Amino acid sequence: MRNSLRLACGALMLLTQSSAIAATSDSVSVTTSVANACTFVTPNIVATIPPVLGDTVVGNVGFSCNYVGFANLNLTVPGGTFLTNGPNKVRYQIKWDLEDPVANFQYSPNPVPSITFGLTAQTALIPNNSVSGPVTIRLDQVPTIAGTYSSVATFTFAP
Amino acid sequence: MRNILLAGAAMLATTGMAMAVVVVPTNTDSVSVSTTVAQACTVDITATTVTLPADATPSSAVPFTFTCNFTGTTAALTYTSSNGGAGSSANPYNIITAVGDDGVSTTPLTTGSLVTTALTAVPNSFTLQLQAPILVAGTYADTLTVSVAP
Repeated sequence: MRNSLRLACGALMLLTQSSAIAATSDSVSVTTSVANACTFVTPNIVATIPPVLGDTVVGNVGFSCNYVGFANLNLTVPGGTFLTNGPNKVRYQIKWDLEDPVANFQYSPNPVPSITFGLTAQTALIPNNSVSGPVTIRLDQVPTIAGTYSSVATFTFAP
Repeated sequence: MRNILLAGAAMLATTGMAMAVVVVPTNTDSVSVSTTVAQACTVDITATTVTLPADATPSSAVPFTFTCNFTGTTAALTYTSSNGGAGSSANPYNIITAVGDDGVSTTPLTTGSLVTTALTAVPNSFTLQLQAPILVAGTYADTLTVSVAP
């Protein structure tokens, strides 16, 4: 009998101790995150401008971000801001109206292998909504030699 | 026992009535002892955090064990979310228990049941899955509590 009582007491002690360690409920922290991301919502612009001095709006560049704030972009122009036709070049400038805080005409005074302009633009005030603004080309020189002069300027989102 | 015998003899002498006192000699004695251990279970989630994929794919399995002091019947599980979803109820997620549960539960997270084995830590796991991808950048958090009863 005495041994039985001892065993019973031991079992109760074990149960009491295990209850103190474990619990009838346990929790886990659940986290998830979504990184800032932006995408362009407008198609590539393919524009022909008249070979005269002055400004021409060639189309709109728009984008959408999954956050509210500012997007950092790069505008890269291989060769610099020159329309080229073989060895012949005429300088141009390019402006995007969404550049914040002030839209500037960007240009490279001399031909370069490539030039990149860092731009900042305000996102839409609601996440995943889009904003769009015109792109203007200002031709600074009139080509005098016949031919088709071209250049490609590329917008990308900076990391 | 001796006191009872003497009292019986005294009554017989004074009343003259026949009276028998039977005393069963014994060399044993007994005390009834009982105790009751109520049914109880505990649950232990191994991990402290779980990452919920924002693109609504399932999370990795989150292991947990439950231990009960009885066998054969079922223990009831209850899942509760502090927010009703990740970050807020705008981002509800499902909990899918691997073994013995009622499968997919939706927010608010509901209950399931599990078969018990006495004093044995029974392994199980659950995965979490957003009901829809989260489209707005940011960090979202929640606390998920798993309770077992009894």
